[in-house]
Amino acid sequence: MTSYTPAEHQAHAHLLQTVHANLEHTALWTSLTAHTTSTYPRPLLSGVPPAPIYVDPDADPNVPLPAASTQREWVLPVDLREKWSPKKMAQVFDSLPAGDWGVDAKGGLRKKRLLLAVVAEDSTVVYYFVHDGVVKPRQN
Amino acid sequence: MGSTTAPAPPKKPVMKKPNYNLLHVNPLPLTIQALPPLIPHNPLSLLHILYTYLFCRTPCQPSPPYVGFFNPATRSVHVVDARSIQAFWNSGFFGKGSLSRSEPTWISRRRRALGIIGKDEDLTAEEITERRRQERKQFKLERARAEKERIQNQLAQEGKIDLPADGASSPQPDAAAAGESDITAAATVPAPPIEPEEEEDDELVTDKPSIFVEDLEHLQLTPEEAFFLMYGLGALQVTVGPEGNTPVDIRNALCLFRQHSYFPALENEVYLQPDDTFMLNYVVYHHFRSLGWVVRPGVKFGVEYLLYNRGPVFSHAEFGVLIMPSYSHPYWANDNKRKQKELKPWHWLHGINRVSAQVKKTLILVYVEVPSPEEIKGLDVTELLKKYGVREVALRRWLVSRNRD
Repeated sequence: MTSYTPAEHQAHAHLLQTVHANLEHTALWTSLTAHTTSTYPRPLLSGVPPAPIYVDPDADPNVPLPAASTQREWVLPVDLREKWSPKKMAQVFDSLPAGDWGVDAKGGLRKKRLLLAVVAEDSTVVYYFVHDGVVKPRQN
Repeated sequence: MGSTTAPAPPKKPVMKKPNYNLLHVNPLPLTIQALPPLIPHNPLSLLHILYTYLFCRTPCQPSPPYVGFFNPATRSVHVVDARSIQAFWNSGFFGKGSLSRSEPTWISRRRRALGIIGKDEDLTAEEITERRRQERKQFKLERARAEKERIQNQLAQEGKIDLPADGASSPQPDAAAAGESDITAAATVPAPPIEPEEEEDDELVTDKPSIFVEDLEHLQLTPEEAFFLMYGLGALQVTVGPEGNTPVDIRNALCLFRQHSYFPALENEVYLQPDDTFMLNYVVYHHFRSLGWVVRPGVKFGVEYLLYNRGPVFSHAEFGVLIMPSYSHPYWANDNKRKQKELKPWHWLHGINRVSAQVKKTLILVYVEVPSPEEIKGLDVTELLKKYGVREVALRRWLVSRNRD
């Protein structure tokens, strides 16, 4: 397990605050929960977006999307200047609970996914999807 | 077209834009005093100029200076005072609303959500974009549905599947034409109707709740912006400390910003390097600001900065700036770690260039010559900055088949 210095721990808490405020007040997410226990390698957030944030490329556009309340999304707040490695990312994925990931449009088990929330100094938060494995790209 | 015409799509409400030319008339938060005109055949006009120049000059800096406090948690300078926020945004587009895309307008959106202001009153840039995206989304859904129907029809025609015999979607002979007409049909499909709420809205006008909404937003200046406003223009006073009321001078501010440009922040200033992120960024920021560009952070496009001609409300950014430290000073000759930093992989550049091209921006690689630590030891701010050099290289992908521009 990657160990972080006290200064880094402090920075993680600040990042969490920034992303929390961004999701709550600008993206209007609800049920935001901070996950700061030692089961996670670093603080994570989870919450419910107002509308599904990812539409499966194989999903039928005529079938209404599942109710938003069922779609809990995980968010990993990071700083723009941090260096990441697949190992560190794998640790984060391993710490996510195995249960509630649902199925994709083809009926297979859905890959774990999270939003990498990259915080810049001007308070911009840039979100990127990270999947725990290969998924079919979405058509824009 | 027959005699029965389809009902015209609902007319969009005309949105009144503020007069940006008037609002953003000052390019910097300074007041500039114009001297009287020089009339060559009238020697008295020269005296008038001299008189104004010598006796009637007022400092161009604001008095009292605009204020902001340094917040170590966000590693930036927060401005909460309304006068300063207005000055920094309107004159020079400094900073970003912490809960908005650029201009601090969160309070307007919040008020609308609570029904304090009407649905088309005081629209923010975010809301206009959101409405456009909704329309686009609707169009795409419609297009996807049409595409699916076309395939179904084609398959039915070839006898591979049986269409449900409701007659609603009769197979069309020409698949391509069918697709086309479907798309045009989709294009005229009205946007998600907001109209039905119109009446309710009008009723609401009479009894709008008057709730006090606390503004949770502040204007956030990056350290580079704050330092430019402090050192370059002398228009900002930055404070620090737990209560945020201890003023900090330019030299200490530089030190503070440099320490906080590391992740996590450095405890001690002795570890500062001539190529720390703040120095590199500031040199480039100051360079382009001095040339009259409006410089804003470009993290959304994978570049360090975006250059706007007059400002984001007037036009899109024309250029994306990538900062490349350059270690050509002999001191760095044996520093392999730093020399490695100069070597960037081609796929990195290609990726960024493609993203920039997609949003119609030209990429500029800005090479910053990094001086040696001895060279800059103990120098004051201006002398220190003079030791850095800047070179620009504009980059654009060129296609053989499309070289006529």
